[in-house]
Amino acid sequence: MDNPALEEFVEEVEEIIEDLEEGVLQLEEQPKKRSLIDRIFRAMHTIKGGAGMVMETELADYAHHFENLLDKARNGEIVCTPEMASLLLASIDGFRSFLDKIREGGDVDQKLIDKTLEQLREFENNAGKTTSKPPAEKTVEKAKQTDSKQTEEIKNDEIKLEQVAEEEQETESEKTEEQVDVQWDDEDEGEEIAYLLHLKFDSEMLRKGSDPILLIKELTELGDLAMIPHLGSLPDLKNLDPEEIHLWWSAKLVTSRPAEEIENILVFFQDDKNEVKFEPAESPPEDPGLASHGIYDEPEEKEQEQKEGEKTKSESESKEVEEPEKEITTEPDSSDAEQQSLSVQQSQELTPVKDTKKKTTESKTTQSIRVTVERLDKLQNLVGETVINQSRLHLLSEQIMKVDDKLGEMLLQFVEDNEKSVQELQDQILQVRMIPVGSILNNMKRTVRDYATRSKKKIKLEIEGGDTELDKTVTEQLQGPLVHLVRNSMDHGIEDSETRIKNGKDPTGTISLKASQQEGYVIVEIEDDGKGIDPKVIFDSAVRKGFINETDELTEDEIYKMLFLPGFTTTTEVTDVSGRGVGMDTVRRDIEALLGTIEISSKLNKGTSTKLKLPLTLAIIEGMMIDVGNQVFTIPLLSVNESLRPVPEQIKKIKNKGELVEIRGEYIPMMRLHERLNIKPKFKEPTEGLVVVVQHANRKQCILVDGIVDQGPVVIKSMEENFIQVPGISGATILGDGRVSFILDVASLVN
Amino acid sequence: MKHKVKVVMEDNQNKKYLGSVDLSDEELEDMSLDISYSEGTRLITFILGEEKYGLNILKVRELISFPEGLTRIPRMPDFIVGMFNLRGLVIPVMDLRKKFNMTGEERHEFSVIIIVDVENKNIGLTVDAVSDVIFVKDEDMQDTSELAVNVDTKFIKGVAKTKDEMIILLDIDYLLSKEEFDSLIENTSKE
Repeated sequence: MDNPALEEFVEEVEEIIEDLEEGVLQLEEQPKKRSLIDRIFRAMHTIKGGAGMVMETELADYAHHFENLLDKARNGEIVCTPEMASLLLASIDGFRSFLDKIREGGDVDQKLIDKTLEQLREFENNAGKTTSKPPAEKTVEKAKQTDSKQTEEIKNDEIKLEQVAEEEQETESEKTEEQVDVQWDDEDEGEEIAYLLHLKFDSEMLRKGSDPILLIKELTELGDLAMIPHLGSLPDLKNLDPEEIHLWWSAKLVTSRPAEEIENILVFFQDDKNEVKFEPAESPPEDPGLASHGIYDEPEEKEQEQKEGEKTKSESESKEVEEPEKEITTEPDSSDAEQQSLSVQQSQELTPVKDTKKKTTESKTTQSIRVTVERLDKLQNLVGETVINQSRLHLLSEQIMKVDDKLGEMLLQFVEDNEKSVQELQDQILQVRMIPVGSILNNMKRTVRDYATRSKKKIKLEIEGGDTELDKTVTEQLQGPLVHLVRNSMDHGIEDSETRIKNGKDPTGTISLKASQQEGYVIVEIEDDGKGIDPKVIFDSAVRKGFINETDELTEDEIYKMLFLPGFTTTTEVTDVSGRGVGMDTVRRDIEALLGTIEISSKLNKGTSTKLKLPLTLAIIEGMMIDVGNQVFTIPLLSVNESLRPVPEQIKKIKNKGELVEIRGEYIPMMRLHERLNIKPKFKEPTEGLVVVVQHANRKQCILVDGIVDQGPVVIKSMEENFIQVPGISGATILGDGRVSFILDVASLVN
Repeated sequence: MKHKVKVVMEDNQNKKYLGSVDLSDEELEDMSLDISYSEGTRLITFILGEEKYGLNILKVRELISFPEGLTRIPRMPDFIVGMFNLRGLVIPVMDLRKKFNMTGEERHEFSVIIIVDVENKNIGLTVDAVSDVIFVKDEDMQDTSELAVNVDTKFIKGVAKTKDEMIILLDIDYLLSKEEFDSLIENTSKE
């Protein structure tokens, strides 16, 4: 695939598909949410349009069919049922097949395509029979007209290259529709509408034990609230009575909630002493509504404001800002300049909602660009190189200092200044590589849904902290283990509804995915409220499989840890999703490959929780540089517990078990690194050298080294990139003097 | 799918039509590589022990003098000299003398490391000295069958004859193949 337009198209569609998938899953839960259908429709339409552009007519055709379906849903002819959701999800698989074809050549999965289209036809036929026309209101007629016109447009559309023009038409008709459409179940969620509020309270209010802040707080819960205080009657500080309310407010509330809810809040404050009113922002000022009654403003203030407005604003500006601008009062006694900036800002804020929306989408498109990960990797390599050169410069300046004080000092000063920029550069490049984990957490929704429909279990997925950011590579490689863990929860954790009811639980099981950042790590927790894992079952299973003896005494932690042993499984049945005993072992290895750790805890009949701890990035770690003989190795600081030089009494030799070091009552096995790596050391005895205590998972290990050289951040280089994975070594890094140092693989040293 | 391909010989202004052949996609792809060097191959030649070796120059990334700080990789055989930092890349170095079990002096002032690029891996090869870049016509190249050289013949692709000498063509892809590298680990783990 060397057509850049096609490449871009594929990338774009991949993104759209993800959005589409998420939208469909949401729609299944809220089938009457208009904005969702619109979103899905738009996604489908973009795919169709794009496909037409790059001459992928089959794909465009395919999308066209589903677009029709969605159009019917938009018109209210069809209500989204679980079947329709399944159908739309199947279409997504179809799109993926098309993308594979475009990317790798070959053929699309014609069977899949035909099947989905067949299902679509069936669904449309059935739906046509059962759904009656939606309840008619006088505006609906109008909506119908626009809609049917539009549908025709789409139907007759021969997917040409004039997609842009069509799109424009599309949005236009969409707009009119939004305004006239009333058939949507907008009981609690719907299109966002802006309301202008006028909040003027009884100045004695505070003394009566009430407070405007209560009202304001409640309003903020409904949606986005922008408030402008009016200082009109604010007295001088010396005359100010703090128990009196001197301010009043105009506010704009953008909410999807129905007007009644606002009414319900305001009603408590509506008495003859308070002036508390609201109206939709779009109503024209000539309306015999609130505005013309001067409720938004004192008449004299308004006049003044208008005059000043003419003075300070250019014509075009005042044209642009329309009526709401008049309604906001700026301080009459503030200076001209201040006023100008203030009112311009306000007018922007208070222009009708739709404009704002448009603006945000516009700015979004201009503010991000697509960059390949490859290019980022290159950048990161370069930055890593700069970091290394920086430390070499540092060394050099110190050497120069020895020869020439003054010159060395100057150089050092410069080097240290430069260090800040280099550090910043490094931070920034790491930041660029971070993506929210939400993208993969959301992918689980589909996994859960598909499983739930197949298995008759009722499962709900809760996601928290999707905006937690993680290195792109880590995020991508997290997907596999995550699917595994979620499937495990669904398969072994969550019981079927009957059992759950019997045990006094909600018939719907819950799996929650939580991501959060803690001290430089990202924690991802997978929790279910299923039947939990019985430590005894694991124990017995382990005995049966010969992992342990019946007489062994293990802590609960140790027992759960056995779940990660290769080939370990407690289930006797193998389902198509899990139970083969390879799962948890693979998960553990995947997580360890990401330099992370995994922990399981469980309560019988309460559920199981798996906790993944991952580093923010794979590119840089904190390292401890140690030396053995003339070679310097790096140990990830994360694995280092402590380092010490033991006294002879601390060293115990045990037959066949090697040496142990006693540290505060604990006996920890010791490994002589020089023996392991076959290097001639400076010190052969722990009492002369240094013992570094490392920990991996729950196992501790003493490592005998010559000494500690340094400590600091190191850029990890892959050994495999130019060579092979060497046992005992997880990577390489470049030291300040330009030499290569190998990073020890603590996991393999400990085991 | 087969393509009909015209075979035309071209030198300066003269074209000579030689005939046509049917080629599959794959063959065509292979051809396109061969066609561009159809007349021959540009080789970089170097000295190793008593003999002169050649390497397709397209595999060579750069030549460097012996780096100062080479870090030995633990538990690797002798001929893997270590790794060094080439402008931020961590590159392993293989001592060809040791690899081919040659005796004699190890390193001297002309010792050079040839950084080759094989399947996107950059690897350094130590050689005694780099001598030349030459062009060898296809018909002057010969495969290994009846050769007697010091080197294990599995790393040899063939020989190229020039006016006054014979150049051994290294099979660099095999020498640095994944299988060869993986055997390093097996060997060490047996110890």
